[in-house]
Amino acid sequence: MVNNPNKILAVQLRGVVKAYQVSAGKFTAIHHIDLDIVQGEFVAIVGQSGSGKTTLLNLLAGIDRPTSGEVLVADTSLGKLSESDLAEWRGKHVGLVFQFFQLLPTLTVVENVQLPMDFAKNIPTALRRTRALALLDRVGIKDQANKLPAMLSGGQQQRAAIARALANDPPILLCDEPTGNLDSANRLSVLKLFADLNAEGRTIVMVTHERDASSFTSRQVTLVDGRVAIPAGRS
Amino acid sequence: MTKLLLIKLVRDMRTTWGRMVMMIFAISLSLIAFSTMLQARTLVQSNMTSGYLSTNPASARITINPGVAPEKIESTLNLAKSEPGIIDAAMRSVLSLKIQKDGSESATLQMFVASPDDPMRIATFKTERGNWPPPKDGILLEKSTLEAMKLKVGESLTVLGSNDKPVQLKITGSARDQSLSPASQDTGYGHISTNILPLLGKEPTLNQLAITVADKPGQTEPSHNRDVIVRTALSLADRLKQDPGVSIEQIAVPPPYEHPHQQIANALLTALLAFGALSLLLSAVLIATMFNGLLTQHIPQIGIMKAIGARSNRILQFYLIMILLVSAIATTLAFVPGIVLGRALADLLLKGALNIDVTSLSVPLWVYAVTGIVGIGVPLLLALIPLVRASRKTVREALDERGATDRPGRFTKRLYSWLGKLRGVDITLLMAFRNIFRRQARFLLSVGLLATAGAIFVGGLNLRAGFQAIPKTITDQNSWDVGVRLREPAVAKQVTDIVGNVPGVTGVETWNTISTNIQYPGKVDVTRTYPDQGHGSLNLTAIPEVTSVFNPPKIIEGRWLAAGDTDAIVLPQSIRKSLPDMKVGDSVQLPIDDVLTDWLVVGIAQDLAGGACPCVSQVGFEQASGQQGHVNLIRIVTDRHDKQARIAAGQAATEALGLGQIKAQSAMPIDALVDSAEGHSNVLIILIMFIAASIGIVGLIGLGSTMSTNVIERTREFGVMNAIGAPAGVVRRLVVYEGVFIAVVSCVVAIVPTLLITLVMGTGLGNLFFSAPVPFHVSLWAIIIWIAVVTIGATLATLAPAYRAARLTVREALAYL
Repeated sequence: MVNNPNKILAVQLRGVVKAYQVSAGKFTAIHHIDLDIVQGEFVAIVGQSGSGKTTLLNLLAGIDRPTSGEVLVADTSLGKLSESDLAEWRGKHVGLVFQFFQLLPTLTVVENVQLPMDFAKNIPTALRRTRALALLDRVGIKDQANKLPAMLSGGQQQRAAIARALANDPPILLCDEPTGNLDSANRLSVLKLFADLNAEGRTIVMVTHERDASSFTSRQVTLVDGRVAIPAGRS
Repeated sequence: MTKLLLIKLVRDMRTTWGRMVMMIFAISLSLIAFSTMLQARTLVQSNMTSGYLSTNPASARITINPGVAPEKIESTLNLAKSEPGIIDAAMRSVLSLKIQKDGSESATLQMFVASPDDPMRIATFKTERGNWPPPKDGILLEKSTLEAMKLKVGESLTVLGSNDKPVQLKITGSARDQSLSPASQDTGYGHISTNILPLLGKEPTLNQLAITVADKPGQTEPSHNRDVIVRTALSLADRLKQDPGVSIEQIAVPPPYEHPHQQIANALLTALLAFGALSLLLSAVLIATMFNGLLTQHIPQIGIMKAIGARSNRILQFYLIMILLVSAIATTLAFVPGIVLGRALADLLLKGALNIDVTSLSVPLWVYAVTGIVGIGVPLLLALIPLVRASRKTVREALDERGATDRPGRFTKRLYSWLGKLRGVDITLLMAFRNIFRRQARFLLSVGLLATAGAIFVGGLNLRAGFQAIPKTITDQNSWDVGVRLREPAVAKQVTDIVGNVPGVTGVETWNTISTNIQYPGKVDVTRTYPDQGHGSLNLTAIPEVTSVFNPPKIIEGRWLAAGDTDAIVLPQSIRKSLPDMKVGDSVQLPIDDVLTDWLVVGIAQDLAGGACPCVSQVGFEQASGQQGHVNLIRIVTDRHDKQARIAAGQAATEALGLGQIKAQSAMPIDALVDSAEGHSNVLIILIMFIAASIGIVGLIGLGSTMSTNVIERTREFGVMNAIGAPAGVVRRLVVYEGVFIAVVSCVVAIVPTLLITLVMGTGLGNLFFSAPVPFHVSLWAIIIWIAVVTIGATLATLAPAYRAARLTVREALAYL
């Protein structure tokens, strides 16, 4: 990947390898990846099933630890953090969006959005609900705020999950197939929402299968068998 | 914890209210059992001690021969009080009187005799009605005697005095003596003064010197140290013996500060407390299992919370508060029933079995504290293991949780491989069998929980069967129907001829029995006997060389009596309570008709209820007593073996003997021995059943919870099965098979612990009550009930979640969080 010396890097991967021990032996999901993502970029990570997309995103989120190499996200080297420190770091610096929304079923939508603020304690208690409602308004489901997630459609749940990811105003959003479980109308509106968030300066890294996502993203990183594929015409 | 997390906590608990209610119920039930036993034990101990000490019991009683005449009492007491360490002294005596009712003897009264001017400072009692001393023809009966024998103050009763002369006495009052065990219909207690002795044809002498002994001279508090008391009593005995013609028959030093039944009550309640604690431990394991299931269900949520910023200790705190709430609610619910049942049990034992007034129902604060700490702490402690494990899961592990991702071990791999080779077996059955080994930790926990519950349940019922079998050992050992005791020895042939002609009598054997005590040769007999003479007194039985109505008891050391034995004696195992070092080969002395006779111990026999030993041969007894061909006990075999027929035959034999000028003292059907043995173990059986039932219920809750957790954990998997075309019926069958497999495996695993529990508890409680283990019995019914309960329970417990799982759509199942 090419570094732009004038831009601030949100993500840096240096020689990252991720290998798993499976019953058939050792399986390497990520092979010596070097990757820089500049602050404010909207990067789509694409590739076939099993190419290592989700593993790469998990490495960026501190959900997985590299077998070797270094992962720096939001100026933090993740390899040095304990599990609990990683949790705290995630709460403050990244927002995660999952394919299956992963909202907590016994909390209402607004409470789900408030919860990361409770964990991170960045925002004063008195302001948390107001901020959660504002975020829900921002993603267009304020009227669903007091419902439990099970009462919402898939598109609405994903919007709620995005609002939750924005709760602590993180500079980076990491999204794993956020549109994979949505119909086409919802898919487009969610992608537009991400584009808007990116336009505000937020760095977004999104694992996707969507062919039409490229029109929203600023860059596409293609993985093939755990390696970053070099686009045709480049060396 | 933040308000939001508190909201989540409440809603999570509400969502899984069924599981929460089961957890609360399980802890409550076990805690009630535990707390009941703890409360009862504490109340029995405190009331027993205070009740017993309120009588200021004598530290020792020295039996002097001959008895002390009234004019010598004061000098004897002065001599005793001058002995260093003796606080106080009193002269007393114990007299056994037969009550006559409708012309025959109905019961025995043990009368405690004191001088009318006795200040009653030692071994005292409370006069509830009437006055001490009673008039010259009056007696004070102990309260429980009035109740048991249905007598009233003001009524008269006839007793047999010297030479069996009937004497009418008036019940002039009632006394409360908490140092005595409760009276029965056959044996009661009373207090009389020496004034009444002439009326009964007896000398007004007293032969027991009761003393209270302090640790050191000048002290006024009776000693707690039995050795000090024995030393002082022996020293006093030596001085008493210096008076020409005076001999010391016995020194009785019961354990200081201990009610006659203190040890047995403590041991019984401790055993029951141990059962209660086991039940609590079981429910704590259940809580850990259920909580583990709940956490498994919550693990994806834990992953999400960690993904959005929650640290491990936050998660730990959240679920700790949840379990704390559950156990706190359960403990609160168990508190009052535990107190009420504990008080009721203590009341039952104190009044019914120990003859102690309940003077205080308050227990020390530590009892409540222990109940609270145990109720909250034990479940919390055990739930901590799965909780810490779950809270430490990484986001990746938590999000990847699909219910059964454990890597199979070598054993599991081999099992899978072997199962894979099986042909012609239903694939659902094979799959179910494989599934139970997939999550080995959960499998072991489930099997362990059910096996523990099963072992305690069946072990408890085995113990009950063992207790119930004790009366059968009486009928196994004794095949006679009625035993007639003669007042005086009679010629054996005459007795056989008379009784043999009584209608309904098909067999007669003539035996001998006497009340005696055993001591080592040349030693002053220092026993642990209490004033009621109930402990330490023995009935020696002389066994005919040829008998068809008696089978020798089980011999645990040495041998049974052999033909030609003339100085051999077989002692009961319980002899070691008073003579702990007694062994085969020892020489002992027995007074027979006031003459000390020498015997060689050849065997120690097991001594369950109704044991015949100590036993000697008829020939040996005749030689020792010098009464050839005379007997005082008749064993009768009747043509019918029901209780009524036996009673009728006993009465007919008594009448026939009377016509032949032979007086019968009592006629007892074998049923009386059986009833007495059953009566002794009834309370224990009820308590064991109470605890076994509570454990059974806890086990069933565990079963339901384990099975439903098993299904919940694999909701996604069922979705996948559905997606690839598995009909709902297959999913249901698979789950039910798994439940039944776990139940069956738990039954197999429970076999050894069940046998161990039966053996250990049977030995412990048996030694406590009978100085011999309770017969080892395995209750087939208990096994059938438990197997039926776990297999049917497993089926029912899995059906509901299996139906729920089968009804989920593929999408719902795959998106399950």
